[in-house]
Amino acid sequence: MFASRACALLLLFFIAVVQGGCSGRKQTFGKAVLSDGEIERIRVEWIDSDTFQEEYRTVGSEGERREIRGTAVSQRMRFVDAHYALLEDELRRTRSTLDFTSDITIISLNAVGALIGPASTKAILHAISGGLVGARASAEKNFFFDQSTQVIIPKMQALRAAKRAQIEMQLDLNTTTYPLAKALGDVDQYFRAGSVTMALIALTNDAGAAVKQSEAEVDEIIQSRYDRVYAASETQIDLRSALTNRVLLMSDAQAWSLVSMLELASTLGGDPKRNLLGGVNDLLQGKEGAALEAELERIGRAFDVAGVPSE
Amino acid sequence: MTPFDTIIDGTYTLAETSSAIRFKEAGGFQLTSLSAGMNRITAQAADSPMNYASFIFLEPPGTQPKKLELAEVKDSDAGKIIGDRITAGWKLISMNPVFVKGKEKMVAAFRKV
Repeated sequence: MFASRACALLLLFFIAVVQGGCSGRKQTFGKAVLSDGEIERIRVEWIDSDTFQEEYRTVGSEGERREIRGTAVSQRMRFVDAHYALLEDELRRTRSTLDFTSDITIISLNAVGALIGPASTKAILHAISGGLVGARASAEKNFFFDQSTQVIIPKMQALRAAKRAQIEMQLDLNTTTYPLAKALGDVDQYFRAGSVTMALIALTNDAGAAVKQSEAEVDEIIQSRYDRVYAASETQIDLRSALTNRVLLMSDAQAWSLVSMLELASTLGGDPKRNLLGGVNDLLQGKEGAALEAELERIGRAFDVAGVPSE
Repeated sequence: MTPFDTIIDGTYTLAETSSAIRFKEAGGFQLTSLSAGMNRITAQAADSPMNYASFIFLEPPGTQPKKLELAEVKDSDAGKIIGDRITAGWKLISMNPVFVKGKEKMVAAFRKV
């Protein structure tokens, strides 16, 4: 059953974080302030109970269904917000009492850390991973742990904000397009968006995107810096070889004439034949197959026009 | 003479790599070394391996180098392959790890003397 599963999920995390320390006192969650009684009321009426879902199925009008859907979503989101505020508060304030293990060992941190990403993210993820295994006493680990909250909390906030905006936007839709079950499923995702696990996964994805971007940049640099040489057929090799042999037979004047005729701009130096061969090399760059052969033949015709003897 | 660095697709067969180099040499350039691209991160190299080939421009312009051959060598037969070629009038000009069909192999480049 959805309600009991969701409740179990929420309470498991809630209990893990609070670790029994909240009994009988009013919780202060930054902006959200919920009493134990209010939390309990929401749990009983909107998480454990199926009553509102039965009512949703039986009411006759679209307006009533929207109202039930809206209230259920809003109440569950209050519960999630309360949980999240406590988690964030604990992350900021009393890291030493917070047991990360149950949350973040779901994913393999060592695998995450092995990804090549921005150095700071990688170092932080590694540090968290190490922190799970060993003591958190060392200054280095504490340092990285401090950094980790600075990375993870904003990511959790961003994920939650994005999911909340999506839910609120969809609440404008009719209940056929956005039924109660879908809305409650989205609240589940909203809850998960505020977890350390999801933040780490998102950070990993960010790191992956950064890696892809940097790889693309490296590719671009390599492409711009180096010529690319393609496999060629024997015919193409022979055609080029014959052109090069003709360079040995031509005069400097003919070489200059060809540099001009073929509109070459070589970087090989002041010698006309060097310029010609460098320019021809540039013309052939990036060409393969039929296009390459056509270009070789075009250059050969230019050699003929310039009166360059053949072998 | 400053060498020109070029890149050759690391997924090519040895014959395709050889033809790419020979095409370049047919333009009046001469191979001086061939090696697997190592300045990229390992994971990326596995996805799109590339080789680096260095050439010099031959003087006088229009001169073409003598025949080139590439051969894959293994630890077990490296001595024999190189020895046989040298005896047959070839000179070893480069022996480095090179990507062949995406896998790193030890490849020797010989030039006819």
